[in-house]
Amino acid sequence: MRLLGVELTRLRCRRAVLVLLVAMLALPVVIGVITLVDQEPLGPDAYEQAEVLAAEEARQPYVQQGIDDCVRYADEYGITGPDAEVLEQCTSMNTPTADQFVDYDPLDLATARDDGGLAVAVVLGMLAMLVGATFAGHDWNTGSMSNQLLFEPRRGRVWTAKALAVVLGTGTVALVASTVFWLMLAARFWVDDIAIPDGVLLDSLQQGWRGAGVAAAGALGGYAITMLSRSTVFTIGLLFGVAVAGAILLGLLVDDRGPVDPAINAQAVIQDGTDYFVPVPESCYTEMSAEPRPECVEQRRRSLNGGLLHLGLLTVVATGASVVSFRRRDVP
Amino acid sequence: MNDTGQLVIETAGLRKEFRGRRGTRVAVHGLDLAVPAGGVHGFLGPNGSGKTTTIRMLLGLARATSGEMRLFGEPVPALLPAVIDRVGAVVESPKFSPTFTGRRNLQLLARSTGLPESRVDAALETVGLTGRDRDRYKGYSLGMKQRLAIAATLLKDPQLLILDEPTNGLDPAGIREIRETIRGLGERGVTVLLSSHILAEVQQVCDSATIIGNGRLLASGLVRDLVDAGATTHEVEVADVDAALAVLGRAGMSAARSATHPAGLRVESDDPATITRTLGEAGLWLSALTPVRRDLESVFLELTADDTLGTATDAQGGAS
Repeated sequence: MRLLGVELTRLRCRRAVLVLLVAMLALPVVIGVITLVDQEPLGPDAYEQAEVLAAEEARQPYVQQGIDDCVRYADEYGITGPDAEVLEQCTSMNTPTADQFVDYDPLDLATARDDGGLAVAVVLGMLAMLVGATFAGHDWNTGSMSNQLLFEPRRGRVWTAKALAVVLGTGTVALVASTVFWLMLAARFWVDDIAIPDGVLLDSLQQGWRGAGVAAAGALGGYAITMLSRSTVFTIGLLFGVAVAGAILLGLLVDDRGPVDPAINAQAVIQDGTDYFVPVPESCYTEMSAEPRPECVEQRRRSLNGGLLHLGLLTVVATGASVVSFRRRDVP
Repeated sequence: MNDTGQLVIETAGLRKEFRGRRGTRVAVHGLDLAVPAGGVHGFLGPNGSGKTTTIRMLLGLARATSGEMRLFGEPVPALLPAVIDRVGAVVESPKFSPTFTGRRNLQLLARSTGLPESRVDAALETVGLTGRDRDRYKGYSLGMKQRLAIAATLLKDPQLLILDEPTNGLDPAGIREIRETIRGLGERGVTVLLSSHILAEVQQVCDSATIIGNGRLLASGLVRDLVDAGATTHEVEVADVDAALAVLGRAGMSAARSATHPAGLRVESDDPATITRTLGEAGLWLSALTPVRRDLESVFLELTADDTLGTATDAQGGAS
């Protein structure tokens, strides 16, 4: 605990780390403000008005013409089944909806989870990684690591105390930042006295908290790699390389990147599972069938557990190598 | 290793290899080091002789390839945590967080081992940094950084102080202050291992010394024994230098013209009476006879000019 307290003080007193932590708090607020400037909640009055407009439009002859054409050439529309089902699908496809008559981008928490909410989690994760790398790199860069070890030579404890400080520091800030982001958006509904659908706010907050967890894991990863490489620049270069070259390499080497792509897995954890797309054989495009072959399914799902397993393994490998290296190698 | 009771630092067969692309370089070759408790012990050697590597191995910063080390009789690095609170050290240049103040740097180190805040004040006062303790470390002069490093070693009230070039960058007044601090600590019973290139400083401050070269022990013992060991020289002034050289040569004494005095010659003998009698019997009257005292520098240069195990064995035999 004593060492942890010392490391937390070091963390919050380092200017570069402090700037990054402030950015972790500020950027979600900025993203929230931008979202609120661009969008506003759709109140019952506005929706009723849009419904009236949609109903008027539905009475236009071209709509019925579209439905008739769809029923007549259902195969070309990719619709099969009994007549009643075909009619239902064609009507659904061709009938104007109220959403199409809202003249602004409505704020919807469920949709925001895929847009601003995901952006917040990604920003927090990247900044947290930089915090971990900067915090550890400073000790190596200044040589103060050796001085610290002259007071506490148990290297495992030193590594752990620093890691805990990084995880706690970034995790707490990320948790606060993501909570503030979602409460900002929710507050916009409360101000206009518009009800938020049941469970949506909690789901959004939970996504934010999972994002905070991913950010803390990212910080741990950045710290562990820097303790291994002893250079912040190396770590940043490595992360950049993985982000750019890694994605290209994975695209060339494997068809289904889901199980191996860190970005997809991080997204799966943040969003409680995520959909992604894989390339399919050319032959799939010439087939028209209701039940495509498994290899012809472009959209795949990566589950939360799959993502957790992937990120967990990465973290274990990085931290394990880092601890072993720190305990065994000479300290300059 | 035996009789560890009186030894604060002890190594046996200590060896350190560095493996690189160009092969393996041996920095320390089976070093046997023994530093007794109390007093100031000089640790001397040319650049790259293995002093800092040895110190770093003792402090757990570098891993020994083979050999044994003990601090206060405890094997290190295995039991280093048990004795580290009794050891203060400055290894090479001072290393602190540049954006923190001097005080904060010390506070964090003190807190990491549960030392009270009052130790920070005392240490800063001892090294004369009280007025500048709230300045950022990066704004310190080299001398102030060195003082802060020494202050850090004093936080623990150590029984063993390992100082690697502690007066680097200090002005003459600073060097004198640190020298007095070191001497004072030695007199208080703290064992100080002082690694330094400034041999005059070591001779002034140290009671005993170890000289290493190429990672091997060359000599070890009390400073006065090291200085007195080997041949003693006398500077002689005589009117007829050539005749005197011939007479001394016939008497079996090694003599040579003085490099600094035209009427002088250097005679290797520790017996001034024999020199006087030999020259007097030949009718050569001395106008001056001065013993030339060796200093640590000359001993050091002699020993390290030819870093071989043979030299080391001889020197050890004469000085230890």
